[in-house]
Amino acid sequence: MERRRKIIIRVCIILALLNALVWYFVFTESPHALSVSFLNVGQGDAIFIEAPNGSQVLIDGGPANGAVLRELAKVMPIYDRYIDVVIATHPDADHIGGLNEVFKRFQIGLLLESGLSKDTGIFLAEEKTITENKIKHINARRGMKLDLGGGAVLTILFPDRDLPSTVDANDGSITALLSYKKETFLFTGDAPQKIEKYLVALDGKNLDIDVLKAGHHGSKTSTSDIFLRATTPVYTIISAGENNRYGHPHADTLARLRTASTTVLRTDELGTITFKTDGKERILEYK
Amino acid sequence: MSFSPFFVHGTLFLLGVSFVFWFPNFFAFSIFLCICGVIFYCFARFTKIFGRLTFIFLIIAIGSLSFSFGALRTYISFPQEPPFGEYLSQEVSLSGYVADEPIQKETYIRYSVVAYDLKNVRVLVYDDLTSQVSYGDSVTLEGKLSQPENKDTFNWVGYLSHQNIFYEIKYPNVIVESPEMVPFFVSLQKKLFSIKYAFSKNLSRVIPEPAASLAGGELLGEKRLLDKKLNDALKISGVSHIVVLSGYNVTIVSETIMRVLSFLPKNISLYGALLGIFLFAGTAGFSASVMRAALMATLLLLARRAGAHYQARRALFIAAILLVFIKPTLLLYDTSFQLSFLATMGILYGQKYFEKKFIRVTPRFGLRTALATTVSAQLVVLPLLINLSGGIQILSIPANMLILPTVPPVMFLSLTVGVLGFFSYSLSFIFGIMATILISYQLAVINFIGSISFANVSVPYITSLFAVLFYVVFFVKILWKEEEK
Repeated sequence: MERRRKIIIRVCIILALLNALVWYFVFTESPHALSVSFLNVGQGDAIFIEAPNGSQVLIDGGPANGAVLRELAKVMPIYDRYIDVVIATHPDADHIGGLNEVFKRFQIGLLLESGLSKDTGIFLAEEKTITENKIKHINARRGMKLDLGGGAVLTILFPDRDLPSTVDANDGSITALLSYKKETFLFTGDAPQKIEKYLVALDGKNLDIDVLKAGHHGSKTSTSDIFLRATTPVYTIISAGENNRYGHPHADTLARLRTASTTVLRTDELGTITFKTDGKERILEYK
Repeated sequence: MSFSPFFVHGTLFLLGVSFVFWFPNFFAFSIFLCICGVIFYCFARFTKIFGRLTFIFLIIAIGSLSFSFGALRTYISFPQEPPFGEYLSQEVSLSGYVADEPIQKETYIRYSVVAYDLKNVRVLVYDDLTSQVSYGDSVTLEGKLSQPENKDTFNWVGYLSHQNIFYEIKYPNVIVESPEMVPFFVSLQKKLFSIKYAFSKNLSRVIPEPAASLAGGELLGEKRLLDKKLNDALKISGVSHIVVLSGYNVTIVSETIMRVLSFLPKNISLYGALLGIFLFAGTAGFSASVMRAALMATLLLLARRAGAHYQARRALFIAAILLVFIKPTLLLYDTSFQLSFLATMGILYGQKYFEKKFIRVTPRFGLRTALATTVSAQLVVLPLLINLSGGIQILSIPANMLILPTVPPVMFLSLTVGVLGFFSYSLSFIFGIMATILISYQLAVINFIGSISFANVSVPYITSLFAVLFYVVFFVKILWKEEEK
């Protein structure tokens, strides 16, 4: 009898603790603000967006070094195993390398792809995972709008057509514009200068934004003067690995950014960079 | 005074093995010693020329036989460099199977390939991070053949040569082929690994990183997925042993099976447990440290069945000698084997003693046991660790006291998550959250202690010879005590 009572008390304690935990999660949930994190994944891109209502978007997964999983764990609650939308900007290994593990571990609402394919082991492995896990996937097209809720909208600017398979992977990068109240962010994947000029021609004044993710990790083939004049970013993020073998970001790009008098924030120097904003105030965090 | 002959001859055998690694050119001497041993033995046993000294000569004869036996066994096992010299720094094409689980590093994936047509030729391969190759795959490599080079102070070339690896290919073109030519035991091993992978997949579906990797490490000894930062923190805080498969993991497996099968005839539950131990060791790739634990657990089961008194210390010795006999390079070149052997020895000989010493420490939450276990294991392992890393982890005792009591619940929860994951995602999810919270606590302790600047105190390098001398003295002392009882 005594033993039974002890067991009952223990079970009650455990249940009470679990209950407290659930309420803790409830109160830490729903930040009522938009947060955009440029994750520190080494040489590659991975950007995590959480809308004011909790909808989540992951743009690229960095290289296949497992870093994206560790970084996601820091920006997502521990019980959260669902990402609403994943965008794979283009099939290069420093953008989709880490996505394979993400697909295996998280449930994905929708996958947006560029439509390009690549004959690499990682791309084929990823295709297999997508089929096995029955992940819904469509090609991104200009004009698509993802209403993230709470006033945050992600608009696809590029590609604006079906891409022939001969197109270079970088040229086909998905470019997306995130806007929330007055704040705007532009994500360009690895888009080179010619695509930037094309976008300036298409969108002109609408490209004036607050935060720019510099194309191709700050390579000199991206972030042209014309593009910087059209976008006039307050902050420019460079997502590159420490001492990477490509020498990203390039000195020319850094010089152009200096001329454009934008504040440069680099993941290789600062780690994960997070913007939080309620539309009025903008908070910057580094980890 | 007289020592137990079993321990004495075992130690001499091990000394013979290590002798060869230090003085590789004494083959003739070993033969000579062996012949002398036989002659002395015959004379002492069958004649009376030694008179009253017969007994002493008999001991010396058998002793030198044990020693030379160890030495000769090692000479036979010495790897031969294959005659590949002419192909060095040339483009080659080589077909074979992947012979170990690829290890992911920061910038590359490393594995070794055993060639089909050239028996026992193993080539080390550095591959891109995006490589999808796994154990037991049949591959054709196209690339430039080169020789490994030593890194810093570590004798990388020597280390590799004892695994029969003399050549490497960096970033070759890898073509995966149909696995027809892969040997049977490799396909079997691949199946065993796949059980482990399915299990860790269940863990990683509901536990975020790096907690999932740590859970996999604690439960399955799966260290490959830990990132460098966490690995370093584990080392600095002196708790990296929690991600090594130990006797503890194996005992849990065998005891669970025995209990589940307890309604069956005794022999059947015994065979079930033995099979379970074998499979478990298999999922860990039959690595030396898990084999040590598996052999000890097997001996425990057999002794219990035979109604014999199980002597853990003797079992440890038998396991060590058996493994070294099968693969002599373990003794001096396999760190995990050395650490697991020495730590187990420390615990077997010291835990009871220290538990009495720490009478003032509260036994609640298993704190006293954790302290006694840590101190006894650490003391014995210390000289080897200094020799390996050139540092002392001075905070390892508080770190272990904080971490060790949480290891069994984490293992239990992870096991539950892994098993439930095969049936129900939601059920495994609930246990996953609980596991995550406990592991987050472990991670917090590990990262905190790992970030303290003075946690790792570097000390002057001590040579392996000195470390070994320490251990010989230590062994003799232990054997002495053993006799007094």
